[in-house]
Amino acid sequence: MSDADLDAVLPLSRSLLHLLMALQEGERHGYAVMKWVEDHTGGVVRMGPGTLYTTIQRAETLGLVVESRDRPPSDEDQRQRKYYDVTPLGLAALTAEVERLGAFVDRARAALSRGR
Amino acid sequence: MTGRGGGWGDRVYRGALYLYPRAFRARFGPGLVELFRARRSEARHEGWAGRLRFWGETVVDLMRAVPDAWRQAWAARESNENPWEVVMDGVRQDLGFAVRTLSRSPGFTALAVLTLAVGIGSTSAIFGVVNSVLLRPLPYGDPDRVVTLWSSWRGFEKTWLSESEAQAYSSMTDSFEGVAVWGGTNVNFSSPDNPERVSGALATHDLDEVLGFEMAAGRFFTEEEGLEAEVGPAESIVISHEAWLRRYGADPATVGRRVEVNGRAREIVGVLPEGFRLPTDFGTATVSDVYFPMALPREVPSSFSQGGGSHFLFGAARLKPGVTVEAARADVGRVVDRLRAEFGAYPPERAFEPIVLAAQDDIVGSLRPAVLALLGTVVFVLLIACANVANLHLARARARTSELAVRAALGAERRRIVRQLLTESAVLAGVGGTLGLGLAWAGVEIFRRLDPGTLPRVGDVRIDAAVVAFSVAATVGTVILFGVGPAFQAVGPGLRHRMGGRSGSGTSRWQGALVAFEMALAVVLVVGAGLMVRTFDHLTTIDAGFDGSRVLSLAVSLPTTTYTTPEEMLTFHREALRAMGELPGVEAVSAARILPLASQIGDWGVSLEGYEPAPGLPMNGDWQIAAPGYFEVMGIPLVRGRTLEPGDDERGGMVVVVNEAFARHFWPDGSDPVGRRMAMNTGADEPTWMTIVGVVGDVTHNGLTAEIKRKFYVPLGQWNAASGGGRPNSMRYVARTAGNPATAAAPIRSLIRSMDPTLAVAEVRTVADIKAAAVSQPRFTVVLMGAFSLVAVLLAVIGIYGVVSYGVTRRVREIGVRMALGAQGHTVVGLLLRRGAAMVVAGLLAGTVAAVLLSRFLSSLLYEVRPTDPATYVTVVAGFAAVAAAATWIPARRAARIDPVRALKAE
Repeated sequence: MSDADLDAVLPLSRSLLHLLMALQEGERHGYAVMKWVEDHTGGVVRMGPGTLYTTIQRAETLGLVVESRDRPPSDEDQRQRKYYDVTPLGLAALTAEVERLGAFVDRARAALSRGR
Repeated sequence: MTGRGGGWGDRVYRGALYLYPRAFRARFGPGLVELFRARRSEARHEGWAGRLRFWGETVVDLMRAVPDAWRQAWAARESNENPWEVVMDGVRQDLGFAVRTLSRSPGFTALAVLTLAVGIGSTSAIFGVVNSVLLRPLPYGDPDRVVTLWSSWRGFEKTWLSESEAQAYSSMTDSFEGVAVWGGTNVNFSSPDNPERVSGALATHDLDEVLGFEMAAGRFFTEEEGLEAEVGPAESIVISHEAWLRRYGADPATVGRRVEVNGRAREIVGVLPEGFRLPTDFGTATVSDVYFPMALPREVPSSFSQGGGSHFLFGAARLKPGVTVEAARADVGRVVDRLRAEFGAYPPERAFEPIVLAAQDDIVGSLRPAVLALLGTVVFVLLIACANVANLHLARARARTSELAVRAALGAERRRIVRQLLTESAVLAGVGGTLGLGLAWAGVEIFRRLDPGTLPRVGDVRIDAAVVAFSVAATVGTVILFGVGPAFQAVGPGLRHRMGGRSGSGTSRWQGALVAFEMALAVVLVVGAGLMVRTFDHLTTIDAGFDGSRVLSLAVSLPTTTYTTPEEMLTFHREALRAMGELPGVEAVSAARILPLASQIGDWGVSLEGYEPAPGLPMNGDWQIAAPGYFEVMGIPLVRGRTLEPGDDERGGMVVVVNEAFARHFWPDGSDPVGRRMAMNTGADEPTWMTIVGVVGDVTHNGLTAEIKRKFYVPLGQWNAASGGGRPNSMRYVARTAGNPATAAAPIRSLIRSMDPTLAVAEVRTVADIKAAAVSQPRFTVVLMGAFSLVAVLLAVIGIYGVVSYGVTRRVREIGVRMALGAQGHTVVGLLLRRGAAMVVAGLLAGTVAAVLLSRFLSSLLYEVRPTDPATYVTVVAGFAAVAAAATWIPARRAARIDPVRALKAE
């Protein structure tokens, strides 16, 4: 993975950011991603099915996410469900994006405190 | 996690998934539905507000995600491969498979391809005719604005204009940019090395602007040249492109050259564009080659004569932009009304009407019904071909049931199988269409050979881009017609369970229906052809009133520059006729001004001595000049009195012979006209009385079915005196021969040349050919409709035979069982015949009804046959029933000979 690969995917869209955040905790299926995003944004962000899967497809195309072959034993009965996992590039992109957002937030805070 | 399956919401959402690209739907469809259901069951707990919010979110989600999914799909294709290539790969794969499949059943493939080739080929060839004759614009600039001008009188449906009429239409109307006129004439190119008699025309200087053409070289006439030619000999001529090629090898130095035409040296000032024809030159084999200038009087004459002047001109006009033909017609009508009011012209009994026609309608309008009837015929042939191939497909699909079932079981999508079957149809149609285009090309070549030269624009028929486009469209159409039905039938319900099994009787019902449909179409065509045959039969048995077998005719026109007096002309004609009569094999010779059925004849006002005409009785008759012996050579019977004799010359007493129509017209009580005296109205103070010495039989002149008009025959030697100074310079010689009249042509030509090397002999043909040419258009229609109907019958019979024969093959085992159980051969034959008979009877009934409904469109082509002529229908239906019975009986007979033991072992 090079900086060039990262530059090609950054900055991440909000949907991609949410998807990668949900997956960095471990592989998940679509419904779980949806619930995770809803729970971690206090129900403010609700991804519809179409939005979720077009985001997954884009993330796959960009190499940020792969469909996972492993699945937890508890979910053996749901064979048709697809699980998704974040790739090293995805993780790096997420890290870089969070860094960028963090820096932006710091600058924004500083600016606001000076201004008041 | 899934909610209860089904429910309308579920179905709506599943349907909405089809908005996504296929790949996306295939991959994420189950996930999408799962999430949708999960969300919906959550929303259910929140009551109406929750459900509303849920559906709102779902719609917003779709609106956001569907375009995104498509954007991604297109982006992926662009980065990976050309989407066109993806499609083409699939097509290539299907094509390869189709070719392999088809080549495994060569019999089916060959039959299907040939059938389609015949269907597409005949349709394309006739479309070529429609295109050239009816659709392709005339070779004029902005041809929709060109109209032709004619006159109509009692007894003349469509005839010439006079100079003063043309002038009036030009100066007193508002609709025309210009009016040009022309008249026909004959021309001798009198160079001694290459004398040639050609058609010529006198034309006004604005012909080029009115018709809209650019000269190939030089210029057209000036107004001054026209005016000068009215008072003296024309110094300038314009020649056709064909004459330029033929006589001068397209030499650019031809313009400005002086050549001898009609005995006088004249300058060629221009060459007309290639393919140019006068509107009156379309229905003739001979195109005007030499043009002389002429001019119209500058003003409408202050006194307009009752009859409008002498009528010898053709007219055309260019409409002002935005003026319709109807408006121009009304405009010309108003002019005629003014002429009636101001000058008392056109008394009502003459029934004069001006005619204004769109040039296109005028030139090809008469062919339109025949050409459209032909187009209808070949479309039917194409439909029959499609039905036949569809039938073959159905039979084959049945044989392939197992193959298709295996493919379906192995996971082939239904859509994929349909696509494959359609590809096979497309390959068949493509090959058939290509072959068909070849057939069309050959057909058009044959067609041009058939063209007698009297049908407008038929000589121009060719295969061009429009015809190729039509063939392609016909090919695509046939794929849809014969391919789609069987393809969907093949993948119908239960496909996967048909492996190794046999389907029910559904398919054979379809096949029976298709055969009945073909039969019906074929019956319609054969009825149409039958009506045309009867029409043609009636036309050819019309008694033209003259025999003319073994008679050769030729035209000789003496230039008035060399033969300046009537006496010189008479001397030449008499010497030529005498010498011709002495040629070996020539039995008798004579001459006349014009020959019946060869050209139109016009009338001349007459007076009868001591005759009190009934009010409104037209006092005129068609005028003919005849040499002694004319009636005998032409086989026109004498009814009363005597015919013309050698003594009826300039020294003898003035005589005239009239026809029966003339006698009936003036003496309806049947009293004998022989001995009475008549005179031609010449404007002289004293009439030149001629004694009527004989009455001869009527002959059809202006067309086989045209009204036979009163006519009088003035002796050649007395023409000058009778007509008040007319000169008999142009005559048609007729020679009856002992053997084939065509063999007399060469000796007669060399005889005339030996008498005057500058004279050209023209229109050399037998009188039998002239008669045949009079039925050329009906013959053309009858030959083509007959040929196509035969093709249709052949295809329909192949269809019946195929279905019955296939039914026998399929039921070999059943028949074997029946026969093993004691059924007799004839019982089996009867069983199969009954099945065939049902199709045939249904087809015949439907076809007869359709023919009754459709045949009225032929009525304008028919002569003395009603569109519902019972004899034709009965003959056609009986003939069809017989042919169909044979086509059914042959395979049924085969079934009766089946050996039960072998039949039972067969499967």
